[in-house]
Amino acid sequence: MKVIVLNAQLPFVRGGAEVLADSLMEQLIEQGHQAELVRIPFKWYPAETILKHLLACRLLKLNAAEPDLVIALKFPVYAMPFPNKKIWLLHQFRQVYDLWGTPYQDVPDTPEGQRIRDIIVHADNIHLREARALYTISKNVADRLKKYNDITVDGVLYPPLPHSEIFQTGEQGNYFFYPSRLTRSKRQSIAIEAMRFVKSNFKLVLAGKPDNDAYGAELQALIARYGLQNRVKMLGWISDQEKADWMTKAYGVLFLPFDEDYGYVTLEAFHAHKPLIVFKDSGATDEMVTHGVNGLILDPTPEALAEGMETLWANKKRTLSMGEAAYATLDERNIRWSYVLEHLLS
Amino acid sequence: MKIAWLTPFSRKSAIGQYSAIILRELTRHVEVTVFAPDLEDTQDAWWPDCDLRFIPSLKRETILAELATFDICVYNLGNYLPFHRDIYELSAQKPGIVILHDLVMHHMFAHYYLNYDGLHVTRYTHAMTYSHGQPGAALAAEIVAGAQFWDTSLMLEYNMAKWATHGSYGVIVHSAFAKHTIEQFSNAPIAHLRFPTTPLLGESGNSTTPMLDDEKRIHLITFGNIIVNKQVIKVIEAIGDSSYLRSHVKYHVVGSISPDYETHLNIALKEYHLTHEVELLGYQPDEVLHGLLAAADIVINLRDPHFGESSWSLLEAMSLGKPTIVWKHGFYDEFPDETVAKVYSQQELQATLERLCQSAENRQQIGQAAVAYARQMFNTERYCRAFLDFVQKVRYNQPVLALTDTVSAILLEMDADSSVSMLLDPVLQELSALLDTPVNDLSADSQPHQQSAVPRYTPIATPLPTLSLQNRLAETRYYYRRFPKDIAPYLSPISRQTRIVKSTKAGGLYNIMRQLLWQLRLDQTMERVLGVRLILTLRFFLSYPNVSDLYVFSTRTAPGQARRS
Repeated sequence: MKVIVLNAQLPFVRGGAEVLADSLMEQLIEQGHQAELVRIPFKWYPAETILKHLLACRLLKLNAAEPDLVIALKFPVYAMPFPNKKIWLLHQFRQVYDLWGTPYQDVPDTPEGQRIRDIIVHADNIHLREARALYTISKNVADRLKKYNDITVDGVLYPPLPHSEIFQTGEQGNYFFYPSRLTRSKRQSIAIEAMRFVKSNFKLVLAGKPDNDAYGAELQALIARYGLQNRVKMLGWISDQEKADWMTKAYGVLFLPFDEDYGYVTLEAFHAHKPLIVFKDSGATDEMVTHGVNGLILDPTPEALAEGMETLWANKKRTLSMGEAAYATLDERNIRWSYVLEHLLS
Repeated sequence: MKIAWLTPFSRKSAIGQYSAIILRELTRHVEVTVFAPDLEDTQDAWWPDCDLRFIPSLKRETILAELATFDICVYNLGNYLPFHRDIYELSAQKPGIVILHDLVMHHMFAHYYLNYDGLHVTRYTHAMTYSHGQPGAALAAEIVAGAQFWDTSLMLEYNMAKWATHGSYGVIVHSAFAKHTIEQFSNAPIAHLRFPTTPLLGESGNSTTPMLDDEKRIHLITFGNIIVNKQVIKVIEAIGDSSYLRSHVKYHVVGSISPDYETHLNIALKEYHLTHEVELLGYQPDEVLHGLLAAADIVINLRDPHFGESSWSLLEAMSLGKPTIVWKHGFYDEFPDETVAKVYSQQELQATLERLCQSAENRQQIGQAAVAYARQMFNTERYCRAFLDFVQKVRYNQPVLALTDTVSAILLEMDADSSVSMLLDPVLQELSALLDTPVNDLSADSQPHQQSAVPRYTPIATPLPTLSLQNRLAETRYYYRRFPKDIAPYLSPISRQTRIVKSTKAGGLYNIMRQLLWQLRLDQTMERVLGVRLILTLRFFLSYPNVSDLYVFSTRTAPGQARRS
């Protein structure tokens, strides 16, 4: 089968969407399909630029080499017309949906901005419905589609973790591990502040590159202010293999974003047989974590987090069994490529 | 919200006075910066204390850069070139809302293209074609050949308002007549706002101004710029032909008059022996004018033909409670019959004058109805509220219009004119699908998933219809193609350069020939004969590879004044 995987592109930036697209490509090729990754540049500022990109996508045609199937992942590339188009939606242009009215809105709340928002919503109402099938990467994304566009998806296909084999089970070390980009929405600051309230002798290890130097410096200052230099370690950017090694020896894993669509950290922890601590407002993570079974779902405060970590630390045996339950979750949620491809290619 | 307000602002400008009235109220709600083309300091400004920029002392790039920092630019356009040239040019480069104070803009554009900065016949013809199609081009040719239509009703028909508002994101007018006319062609939102309150509203009509010393007579007054269509001549004739009026009225004509027209009026006054009954007072300062106005018994505010204007002077007269005589058409016919005296013929004018002069009661009735109507309908606060609502609407539609314009420019760069339907059709289709349908207007039947859309947001304004966008797409390309220099923001530099060269090559010879013939003032036969010879001669010179510039001289042009073409 000739399959085009369609993704938006911000040149020189690589994140979860790029990893997902590459993984999907690998799997398709491995299964003997002829697959091509098509990436369309997308710039969303100033806001009127969005409309130009949207119109451009709409005018582009994908049928030059007569592909059998197009799998689109993101706004605005899913607007590109093709008869046999399936959408595996990472997320919509959230700035005009759930992020409208929040500090992450980006599109200005002016009459011009409101018109741009209305046009995007209107376009989504048309373009998303054009797809032969519409899947999302999480229930969270599907719920938003229902809420804002009244679209019921054909299913949720959780993206499997690429190169999951490097995440292995290992000894229970003396630290909780939080690997993620250092950015305000991931709330590493709460993790650091939680360590103020921790009485036991475990540590916190943060890994990830700061989105901007200011936030990195802010976290360092926080550590210094509370005298936590010996209890909180910041690794900065590390390779995937290093991350897997730290994960293997962790006691437990933290993932504390605000309203995340999915998050590979969850899968990495589960592959390493580690329980995961998330917050109640972390978004799609609660689709994976069941409180007290394969991890903890806590109030988003330093005190609640400290107490949660102490609870796990106090009962090593129970924590170990929670890690096993975490690994079993992968199968329970059909987080495997065979399941994903079966739906996308059918 | 930050608004840039471009307006003539010196005390010679009525539009400046209107602006000052609006802005004193508007600045209570939003930030406004005034850009004045007719001022170099605050001395003569209608409102010296406002945030003011002086266009003559700023570079064009500096102004454009600053205009880009505002939420919306508002361009006040009238038909007087010295006041409105800069404003028009800026409105073409940085689109915004045009407040069109005169529907007939033809005089200004003819002056602009044919007299002001050399002879630009091609540009004038393009502008006329854009505004009025092939008949417009034909009329342009006649005017270029010397026809004088300036005071005729042809000006109302070929008003060039479309040209004045091209590329704008919204148009404001002050009469239903103007709105109706502009609706026929505009592809942007339009609003008809009723004038704000004049400062004269409710002032006492009693005055003991010494200039009206003949207390026994009924005092008539016409004021403003005294031009032909104000029909002072008809009033003179009406007085001259009526023995009653001759012996009972004194007619004051206040306002600047061109020397030619003044001579013409003086001849008429002598013919009718009315040199004592009629006074041509020329321009008078406001305090004198207001004194005369307050003391007058009847105001005569005729326009025939009318040029689609909304008359501020009529509003002033009504605000003072003066019975006012108007010609029954256009803006003037939009007032209730009891608030003004409407006439539609010379006989009617004379009869109405006689009736009003004979009945103080009748004058009082109309005057009272006028001031009550002015009080009810013309209100600055209401004007500003309606203005701000309209700004919201315009801003809501602005991204759509800007996108359409960008697409126009791209199509033009690709040389896709209306004949290339294979490109235009899908673009139009997608644009319409993207932009036209309101969020809550989706039909469930047309959706493959058979689900109805749930609009989360209610549009804050009405989106423009498809037809408007289609027209805009076509017309903007027409405009960009012929005026590439005006549309710097949308075309790439390379394309801009190419277009300029192309247009010079295509229209250059014709233009050069017309310039020569214009200067020679030849009759049509000679024009044709000489024109062919000139084209052949010029083509010969231009085809020579090393000729980059050609200087053209005519026998009536001193060598030092030769224009580069």
